[in-house]
Amino acid sequence: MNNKPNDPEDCINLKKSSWRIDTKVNYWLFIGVVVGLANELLFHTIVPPFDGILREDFLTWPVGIRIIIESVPLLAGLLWARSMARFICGMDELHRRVTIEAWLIAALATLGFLSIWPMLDAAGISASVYRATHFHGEFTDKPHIFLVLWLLLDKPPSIFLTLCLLYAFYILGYFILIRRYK
Amino acid sequence: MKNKLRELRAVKEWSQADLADKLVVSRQTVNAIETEKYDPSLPLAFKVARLFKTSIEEIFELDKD
Repeated sequence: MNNKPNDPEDCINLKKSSWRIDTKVNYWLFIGVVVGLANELLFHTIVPPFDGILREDFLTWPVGIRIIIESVPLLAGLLWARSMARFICGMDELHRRVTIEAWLIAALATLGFLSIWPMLDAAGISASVYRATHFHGEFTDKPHIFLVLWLLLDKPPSIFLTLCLLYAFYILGYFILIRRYK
Repeated sequence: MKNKLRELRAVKEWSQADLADKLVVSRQTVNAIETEKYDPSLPLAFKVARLFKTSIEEIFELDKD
């Protein structure tokens, strides 16, 4: 019988990570991020070379279909929360405490970031980043990581962005908090 | 909180990993308790005491301040 407690670093520490455990815990996160990004690129965001190719058609589709398509990443996110909760239940008390604290920090940091971003954007952060690149605020025919990033941020937050921020802040929070016990 | 976990473990000639396996916790948790960076929960403290066949007070001692 395997009575070894779950170790959060199996998923987030590159030196210790286990592909099998990572896949088991973060399978729905992967699905949510991939579907969320596909929705963004195909239906909403004007990013070359995709250029929202289905954007015009999308608006003519039945509303039920559109709601289902848009809800897939959210449902995947909820299923991910469930698998993460089960993973946390299998941890020992130290790791459980650190992981829950890290998730709390991640949730608040994501909420804070998404709340303040529209104000930063209105204050001109996007424009200054555009100027800092060679695009000069114009679209080009080549995809560019900065262009993709700022276009994803330059509007109400998407579930894709929310999931990415949540996980990034969780990893950051975990490694900051676990240092206390090393 | 001070504790004698390291001494007790040394007497039994167990490694941190051995003790972690017996307590069903991670080696990191055993290390954090031994270095007094983490105070175990009451159930874990009882588990430790039972494993070493002694009382909680014999292993853990509250800081005077």
